[in-house]
Amino acid sequence: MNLSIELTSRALQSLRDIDGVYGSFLIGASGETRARDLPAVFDDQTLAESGARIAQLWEVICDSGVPEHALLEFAEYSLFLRRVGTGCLCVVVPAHVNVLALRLASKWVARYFEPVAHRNTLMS
Amino acid sequence: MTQVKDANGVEREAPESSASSRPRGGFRAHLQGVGLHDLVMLQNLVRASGAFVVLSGDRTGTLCFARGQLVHAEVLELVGDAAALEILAWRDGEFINADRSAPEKHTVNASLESLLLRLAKEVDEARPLEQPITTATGVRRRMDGTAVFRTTHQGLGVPAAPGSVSAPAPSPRGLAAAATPGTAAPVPKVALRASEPKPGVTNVLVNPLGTLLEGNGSDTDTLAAKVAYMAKLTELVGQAMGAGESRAIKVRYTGVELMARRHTDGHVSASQGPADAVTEATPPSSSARHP
Repeated sequence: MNLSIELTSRALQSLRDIDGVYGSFLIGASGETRARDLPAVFDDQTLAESGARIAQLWEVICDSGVPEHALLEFAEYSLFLRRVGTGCLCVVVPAHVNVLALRLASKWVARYFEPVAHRNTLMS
Repeated sequence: MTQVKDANGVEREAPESSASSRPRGGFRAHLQGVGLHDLVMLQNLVRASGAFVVLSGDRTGTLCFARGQLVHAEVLELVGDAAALEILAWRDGEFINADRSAPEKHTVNASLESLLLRLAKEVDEARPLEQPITTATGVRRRMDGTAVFRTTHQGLGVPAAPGSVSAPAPSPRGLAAAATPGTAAPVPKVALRASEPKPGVTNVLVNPLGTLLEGNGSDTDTLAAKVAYMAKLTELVGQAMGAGESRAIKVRYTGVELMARRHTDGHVSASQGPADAVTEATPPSSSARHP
């Protein structure tokens, strides 16, 4: 599915309004990258590898119901996950991010993407 | 002056041009207000090879690239990753093409991406309001002006200015600490246990092989298997993204929360239950490790 680059990047960029957010990306159900707003340090290969893992993990998490969100904490930074259509919105954040603000911001982004995702699913 | 022929075939002296004095083709850039991180990423993008001298105040460092990869860094007595982190943390200065081939020695082990990400995190935590004001200049400026060069960098072919006085060097101890962010302080070893039983909450403790060691509440086997698999996948995500070791997984369902924490020895403790009952998935012994 191909989303409008301009519209998707604008939607993802809005997440940077939250203090500390490094960037974000959107993956499909199989882990493929559908949209991205990330520093250049995250290249396509990195996203391809991590996207597949995140998709697997998201499926396990959803085994007992679709969650509102998930937060993976690592030594270097954290990854905030949220469902968008059949895929997952991934936000790269520092450990001390305001999760409540991020939940609200990601809710808006998810709402923005879901009609687009639905439309593209129908067309594909 | 070079002899050239004009349109009438008469030989004339060609004027000197900056282009003719260039060692190679391409543009020479004079940029201001560009971050050092952007400049090094540019070298990465164009797969550049060569040495660059970085000047910041009276500090001098060297970054060497081979086909876009940062392979060697040097500043004072620091070499390798620690030197790269030190140089890349400088907020203003000059980035000068030293016009030399990259050295044979490879001292930087971490990828440029992981170094920059690590620094981005440190800057975000320590100095969130500062803006980079690095200046990039061309080759010619490297020998001009009053820049002070330390004798430790004479190996680069950059001469020390006569009578120059070096400023106090940054503490290598501090740099070493900066090179290993997120390292947990040593904590006395305490036997791990699953959290205390609570109404409606399932608690488990899983070993690194995914075996349930201890649990309470309902359906501990299912939670243990799920948590072990999630912990493994999270670890793989962290490796793929260069995020470092995984520490915790927090999942918020409607009215239910799942919290899992990976301990330094690889064990995973987890709790799942009503959101208001699951406050912290870890027993007291591990909460000290992850404040």
